[in-house]
Amino acid sequence: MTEIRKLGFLPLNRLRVAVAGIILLAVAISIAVLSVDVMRQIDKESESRTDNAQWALSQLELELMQLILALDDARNGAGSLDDVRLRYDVLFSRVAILRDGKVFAGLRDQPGYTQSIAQISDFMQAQLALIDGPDQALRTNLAAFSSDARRITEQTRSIALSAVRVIAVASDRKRADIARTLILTGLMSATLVALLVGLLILLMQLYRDNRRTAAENLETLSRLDKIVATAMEAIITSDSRGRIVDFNAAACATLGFSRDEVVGTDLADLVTPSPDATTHFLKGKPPEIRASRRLRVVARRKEGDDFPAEMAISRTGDGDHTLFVAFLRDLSGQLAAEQALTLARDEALAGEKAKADLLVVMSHEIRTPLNGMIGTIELLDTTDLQPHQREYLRIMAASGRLLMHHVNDVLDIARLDSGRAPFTPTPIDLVALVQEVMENQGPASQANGNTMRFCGPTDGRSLVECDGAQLRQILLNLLGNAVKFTQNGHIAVEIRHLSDTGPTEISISDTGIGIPKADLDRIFDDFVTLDVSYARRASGTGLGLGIVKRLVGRMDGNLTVESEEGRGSTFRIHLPLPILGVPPQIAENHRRITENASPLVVLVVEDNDFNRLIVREMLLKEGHEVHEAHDGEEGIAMAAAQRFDLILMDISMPRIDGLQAAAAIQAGGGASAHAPIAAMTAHALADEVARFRAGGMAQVLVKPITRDALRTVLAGLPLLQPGQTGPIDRVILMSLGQDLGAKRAGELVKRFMAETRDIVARIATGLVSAAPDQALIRDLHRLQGSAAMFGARALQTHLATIETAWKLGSTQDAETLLADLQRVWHATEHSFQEFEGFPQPSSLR
Amino acid sequence: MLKQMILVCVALILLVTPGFGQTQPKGPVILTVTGLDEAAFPGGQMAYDREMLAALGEASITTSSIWTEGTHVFDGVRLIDLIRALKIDAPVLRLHALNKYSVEFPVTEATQVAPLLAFAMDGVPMSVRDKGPVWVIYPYDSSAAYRTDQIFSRSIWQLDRIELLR
Repeated sequence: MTEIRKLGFLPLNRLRVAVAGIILLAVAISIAVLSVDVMRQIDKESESRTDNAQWALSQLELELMQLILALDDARNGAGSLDDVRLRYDVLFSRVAILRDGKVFAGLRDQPGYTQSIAQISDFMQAQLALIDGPDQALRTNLAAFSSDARRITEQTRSIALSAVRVIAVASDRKRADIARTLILTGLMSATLVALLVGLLILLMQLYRDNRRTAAENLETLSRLDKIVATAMEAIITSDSRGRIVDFNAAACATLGFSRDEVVGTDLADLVTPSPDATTHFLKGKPPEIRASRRLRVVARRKEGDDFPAEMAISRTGDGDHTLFVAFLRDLSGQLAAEQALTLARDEALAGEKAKADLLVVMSHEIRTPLNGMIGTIELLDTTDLQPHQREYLRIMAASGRLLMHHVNDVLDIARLDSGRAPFTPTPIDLVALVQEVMENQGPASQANGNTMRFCGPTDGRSLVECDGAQLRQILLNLLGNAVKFTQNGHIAVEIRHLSDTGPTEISISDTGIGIPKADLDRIFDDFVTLDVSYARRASGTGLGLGIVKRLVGRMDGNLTVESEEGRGSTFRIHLPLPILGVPPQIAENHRRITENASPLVVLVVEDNDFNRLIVREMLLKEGHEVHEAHDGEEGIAMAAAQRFDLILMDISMPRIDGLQAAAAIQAGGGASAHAPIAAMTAHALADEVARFRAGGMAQVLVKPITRDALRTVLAGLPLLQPGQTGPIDRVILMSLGQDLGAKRAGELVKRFMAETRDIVARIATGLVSAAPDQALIRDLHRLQGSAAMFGARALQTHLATIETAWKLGSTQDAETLLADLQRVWHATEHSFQEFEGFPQPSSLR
Repeated sequence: MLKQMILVCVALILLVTPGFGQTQPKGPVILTVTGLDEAAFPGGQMAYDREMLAALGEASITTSSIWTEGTHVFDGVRLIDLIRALKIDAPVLRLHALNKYSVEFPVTEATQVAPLLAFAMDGVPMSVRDKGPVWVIYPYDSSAAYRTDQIFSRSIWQLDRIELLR
């Protein structure tokens, strides 16, 4: 598009005008200065310093002659002496003037002049005594006086002549000065005229340029007009006050008005800024646009319907010549597209979520039958088999475990990505955890001919706050990799605190095959298995490190790897974990108790035959006594009839599920009402685990159940065995102390005891009366929660029993229940009083 | 009798009019005004000695001039005071000098400032020998307007007679 050239403001022309202006100004100043000079000169001329010197000089001669005449007259008797005296005086005055007057200063430089004046003066002085003397003396000397006077006429003539000379020179000079001034003035005037002519030429040229520019502009404008008129976009032009001056065809089409209808009306009538936009233009006011901007507006069609539009408005010109050019674009279509896009995105997200959900569900569903297979294979392994059968079995078992591992990996990834895996920090003994994982990997490591070495924190402060399950998984995956990729080498695990307050570094080094440099960056990506040879040596989904990376990320830690191909790898995790200190001795005690565990009587409630079989066999191998129930109902009945040390309860069972059965057993007041119940489930999500615990499950075993896992669960439970029974779970109480601090935990325990004492008393009353009030039932329920929190398990279980009894309306066992409650409470109270107190933070080291 | 009465009256009027306190010069006459109304002035003229002139109201101008060396104080009487005293109604005066110089002077050009009919320079009465008895002086130093040929031509010295031109 051709730029419209602004009239008379081309840079070159502007420069020319400026230069001409400066020259003109300079000449004007010169002329002014010169004029002042001429004026001064003229002034000087008008101020005469000379009087009429010629006259004065001629008078000198004349007055001398008059004196001579008077002298002669007096001598002849024709004149008087007074007349002589008068003429003398007159001449005297004249001589004085010629001698002293400033007007003759110029003449006095002439040697002849001064000399002549002096001679005349002398003559005058000589006659002075005679003139002022008596008449007689004057009369007798008249002749001599006269002849003296005649003698000096020569001097007067010479004075007159020298004066003529000097005055002529002076007046010549004066004339020359005036002539010079006049010439200068003339020159200046000529220059001025020349400049004016030049300026005139320049102006004419400017005029011609401007005419040409104007013509070009006109052409451009007409072209622009055509462009605007035929533009696809609606273009509205408004004046400085926001009144429409032009409206193109596209605007007519968009808004439905004809050009004549809108020209002269207010732009603000057609478009209003979106409510969220600041007001840029108002009716009857100039739009508040400085240069140009884009606005979202609501435009109105002639038919009266509004539509969203985008308006690019720009300002041109200034003052009264301001124009606002607005490009209006109908956004209805675009907005609709945007909405469709948003919808599509939402649908895609929903689809993604559905896919993730499906993945989780499928994994669950695959795990259960797989569990059955693996268990059965393990069992089969204990029977008498041919060597080749045993080999087949080994392969089957390995395949099954691998498949389970893969399913777990996928499930973990899905869970971590879904954000449904909460991070629940609890006090964890890092050393114990690492050792546990190392024990777990021990057989595989030995199979590869590796040796493992562990080094804990030097200061012994291994108790940290962390999500144990997640950290375990991190360590399992990393150590698993180390074991997998190392043959006949060494694997070392080291824990150290980088400072007193963390972070904590866990490093796992191996002397295995290492990772090529080129692959280091992508090993943490999902589904990455490196080259073929690598894959041959160890199979995997390639999700293990992805899971580790996610988990470490969730703990705000970072994961680094150093590796050299053929030399080995070192994975380092830095975790900002709160360091609680040296693990309390209680954990040690707990382990000791576990190791010394004696055979238990266990009830397994499981509807799945395979699973039940597996668990049974495992328990039997551990030397425990096993009783089986095929569903929830049977389980409840058996638990009521016989006292078990432990009940293993499958969660998903038809009709009565595990949670319901557990509640019934605990509430039924039967022989095993106080027996700890461990849930068995394939649902491993943390919130579900929490739900199971809340439902009275003392432990949760995640399927597939392995011997190790079972052993751990059996050991970790507070078993109701003679001599080892404690009404309170000291582990829970300790962790409470670590969480809240010894002082605060102590206070809470005191408050809990006081509250419980009160409620127990009220329950006693409630049990006797036929209908306990609702408030008491609520308090009872609340107390169960508190009891669980403070580790008062026996009390919690008993309270649950009472609550169930009340709800069922059964009061027949009221006295037994009350007696039991009081007994359990006393025992609990005693235990709390006996509890040696929470460890002080300062004494932790 | 009547003529005598009129004379007495005229005499009385002349006596009470300022400047007419003395109608007859006692000392040497230094200035004569001629061409006056013969009805009021015997012979149409008026002669002044220094005392009579001074009685018109003495004034002074301090200035230098092109005819003298240095600045001098000129004492005398303003021409306008003389014109007023004599009620001169003639438009032009002719000023005559002892050296036969003369110049015409329009009455309207006499102002409250200039010219001065000076009869003393630096407190000394001017003699004929020293451009006396009367010298017409303007304040030449005060303005360029007093330094023109016209002014210089009117600065007549050895003035002894003022003639009214009808």
